[in-house]
Amino acid sequence: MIFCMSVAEPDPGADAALEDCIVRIAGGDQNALADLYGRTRPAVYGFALSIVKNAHDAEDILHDAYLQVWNAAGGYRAQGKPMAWLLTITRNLAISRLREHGRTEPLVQEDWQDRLADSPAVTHEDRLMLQALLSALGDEERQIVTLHALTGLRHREIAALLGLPLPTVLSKYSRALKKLQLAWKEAD
Amino acid sequence: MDERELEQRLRTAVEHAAPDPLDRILASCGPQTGTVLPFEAPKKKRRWAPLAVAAALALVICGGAFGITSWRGANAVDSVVMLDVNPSLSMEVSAQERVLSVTPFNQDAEIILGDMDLTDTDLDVAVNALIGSMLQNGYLSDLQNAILVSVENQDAARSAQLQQHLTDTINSVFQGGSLEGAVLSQTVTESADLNALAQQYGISVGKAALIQEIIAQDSTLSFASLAPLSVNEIALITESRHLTSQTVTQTGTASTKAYITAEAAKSAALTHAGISESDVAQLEIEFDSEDGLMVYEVEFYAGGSEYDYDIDARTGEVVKSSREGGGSAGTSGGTASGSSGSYIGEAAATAAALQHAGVRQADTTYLRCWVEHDDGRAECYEVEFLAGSTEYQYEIDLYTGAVLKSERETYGTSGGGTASGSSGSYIGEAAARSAALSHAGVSESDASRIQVELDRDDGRTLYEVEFHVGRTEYSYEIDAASGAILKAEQEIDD
Repeated sequence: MIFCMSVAEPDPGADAALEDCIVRIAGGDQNALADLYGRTRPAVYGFALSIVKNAHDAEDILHDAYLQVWNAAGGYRAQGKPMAWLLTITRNLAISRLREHGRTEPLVQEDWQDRLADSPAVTHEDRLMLQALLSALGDEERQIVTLHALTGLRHREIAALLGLPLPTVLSKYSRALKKLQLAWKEAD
Repeated sequence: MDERELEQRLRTAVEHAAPDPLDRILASCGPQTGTVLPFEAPKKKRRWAPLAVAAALALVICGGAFGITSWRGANAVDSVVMLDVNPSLSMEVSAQERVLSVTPFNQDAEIILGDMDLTDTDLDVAVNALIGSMLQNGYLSDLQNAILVSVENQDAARSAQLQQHLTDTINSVFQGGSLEGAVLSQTVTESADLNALAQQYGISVGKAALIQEIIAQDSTLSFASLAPLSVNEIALITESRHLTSQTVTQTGTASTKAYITAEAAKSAALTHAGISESDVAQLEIEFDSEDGLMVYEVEFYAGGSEYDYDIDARTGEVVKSSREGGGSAGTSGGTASGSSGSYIGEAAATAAALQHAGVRQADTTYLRCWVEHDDGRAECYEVEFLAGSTEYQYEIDLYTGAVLKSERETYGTSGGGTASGSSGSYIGEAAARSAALSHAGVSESDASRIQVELDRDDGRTLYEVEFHVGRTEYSYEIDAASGAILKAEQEIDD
């Protein structure tokens, strides 16, 4: 079944749980990896998708990111930022993927729709929302809004992750939501 | 649909769309390779007794007699072994682990080689001699103790074996020289790209590969800034930034003895800024290189401003300082302890925001207040509410209830009753809107989707005004204090 989580609000307890998972993963515990995955899968997938704009690549990155976590957990240093760590791994993989392609793969709408159609959980509304996300926003806007909605990271953490100044993130976030709202209304 | 609902819908859509490859992931989980810089504990295993450095040197300098064996005929290059400390060199090695040739890439490597002729010596002997010479010449010491070993061989298993073997050998030499060294090792594959970079910067292909992997993960680092650094310095930078490596294995820890502590760098920055540590949030300290100089990069937020310092890692001197944004009236008081014991409480924070906005709670259609955390520390109260078609966002001081930041945004079309700016020194949204419309030569009744937002941008406070006339979108930035038009753009919608 679909795992639902609410990460919109900062929750130090959630960070502690993620850190605990990483420590256990470093000890070779696959259940801990499954646990971390269950808690963070939408965030990792959403962020990857927001960078590569391609469902196929995003799925590969989702796979590779947790594999890299498995191998890299031993070097993680508890700093209260497990999500930022995981997302940095995701971002690096996604950017490498873009470099491999040499450019941003244009989104082929049919592929995207076919892929979504594979998943029975995806509703008509979901489809419209993802379409709006992928077509109406600029790259940074899409990444910022996805991070904010899915990861529980604060604007400042998003700024640090993306290497952007905080005011840029704030203004892009607010513009992105407006655009998304508009695109949603038009699609609806 | 408000912003919260929009985000919720986005969240749901991604949750539904995200595939579930957990089984595949778990099936791919092999033995953990521990592929992270840095690794803490040095490996214990020692296959060879430590060789005395002097003995190794003597062995080599005495000439080829020791090296001549029945393997001599085997001149085919099987592996390439590269060593980087700051001296950078490579050796071509036969399948029988005899050195066929040595190439120095920089002047430091030429100094190390001196008049040693390593051709046709056993690889172990050559490595012993080279490390010994680096110790003697001060390239390896308590202050700079890291070496990078890169192996290139078409057979991955053979590469891995040689990599391990060399790591052990070098650790033995370190031990013989009473040095707690760090050995980074990797297997590399040459490429035209790496060769070109190596040649350009006078480093081995191995070091080029390491740098390329690092900069791929951290866009603030550049190849040119890392190439001249020693492996010790590169290891410290990657360690402080928690960069992970898929390929590099490390034993031992890179030395920080040449540098002041991160704590001392932090103090230097805070003293320069005249701010006490309890007043700052999201403090980050990382090693960086500025024009070849090792610095601590210290970043933090305080009083709504972002501070950025480069502190000379050897001397503690402030090399660079900058401050961006903020300077707002609010001061963050109190200590940022985790306890909420002395916070004013959500009700009081909400009341402070409503009072500032001149809005009664009963008139809000959406009202939310929470404690904003950054880096695990409580930072301020965030209060958001909607009254009519205006959305308000506030940051309220945890202890004093002071308004640290306020933003409002009015949705809706023409004629909507926009509240005039309550901040006395600003021209107000209505005036900003008029200024933009009049600049565009558009009457309010012809414009649709008018949006006015008070924003801070690079320390300037301005109104962002957007509206549409037909398919044309107009975007303006209006100085909030003077009403001057800072930016005007128009764009035809697709």
